[in-house]
Amino acid sequence: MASWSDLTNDVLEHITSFLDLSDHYRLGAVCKNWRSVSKWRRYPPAPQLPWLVLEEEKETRKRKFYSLSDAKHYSIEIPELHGRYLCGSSHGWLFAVDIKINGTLLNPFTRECYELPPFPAFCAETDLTTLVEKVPSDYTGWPRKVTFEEMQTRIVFKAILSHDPKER
Amino acid sequence: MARSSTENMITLMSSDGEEFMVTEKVARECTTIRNMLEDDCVITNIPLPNVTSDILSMVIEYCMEHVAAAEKAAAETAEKGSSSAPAAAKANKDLEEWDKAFMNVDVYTLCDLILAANYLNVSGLLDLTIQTAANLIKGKSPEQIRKTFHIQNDLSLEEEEKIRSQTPWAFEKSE
Repeated sequence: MASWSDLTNDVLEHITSFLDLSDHYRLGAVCKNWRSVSKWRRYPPAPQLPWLVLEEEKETRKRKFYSLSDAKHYSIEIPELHGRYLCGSSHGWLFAVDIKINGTLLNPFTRECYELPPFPAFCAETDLTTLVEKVPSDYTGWPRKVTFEEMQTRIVFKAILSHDPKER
Repeated sequence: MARSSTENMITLMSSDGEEFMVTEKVARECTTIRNMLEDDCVITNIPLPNVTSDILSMVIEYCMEHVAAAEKAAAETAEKGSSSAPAAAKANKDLEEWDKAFMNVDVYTLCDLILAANYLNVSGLLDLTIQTAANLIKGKSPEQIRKTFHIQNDLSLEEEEKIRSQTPWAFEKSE
């Protein structure tokens, strides 16, 4: 009689293609054979509703997410996202900018990370302090001083990736 | 199922030596056998050393049901000139119900069926059994998965602790 722990890799991988991400991780803690398959991740997890990205937890600095499909909050420690503002997500990647408007692409689960080249308007010569003073306020149209934190959320409104950076 | 006398019959032999006579059409549901028949069209006797008689009889039952359903749908289309959508939808639903009832098996049988469907390359049965297995895994903790599938935990305490600490959120108890 066949045993589930001895299933061949191709069959186990086929099973994982029907599972979502959290099931995928739990499957990897069942036994050695299942572990080896879940580590490879040849198949992406089954399509699932996107998680909502929420704010950082104040004390722990963990990032909060909400999964619509199982109606559950998850708090995940992702140091790469500390103090960064998220302005988009595509193909499983988060697009974040830090306080100096440096862009980063991060896969929150594999933790792969790409630092992006500086945006043209913010190359090294740009004096951020002068720029800060010239940003007009929303209400009066007159220049006023804004904080870097405000800038961070205003300069890049939305980022979308044309393709998955891992695919080429 | 109506069977014309001109239809070729194929004998499938299980690992424990039992013989099963099936129509070529039913046998062709298994891509592995279809390829054999296409390579050598006079073949009539096929030994299947990887499949026991009780599992082979289930695979054949599945193939016969699906061939019969496809034939019935084709006959209805030919009779009326076009297929009626509500009738086709009902036939699909009936077949789905049949599949669901067919999957009412213990996990050992399910495992053997997956292996047989994989070996014989019956894509419909493979999808059905794999989906059934995935449904048994969904939302379960590693302990519950081991219990469901009678799997011995061969990871050391340290290994398991390391795996869990990499993605602790995935192992939080559901509220």
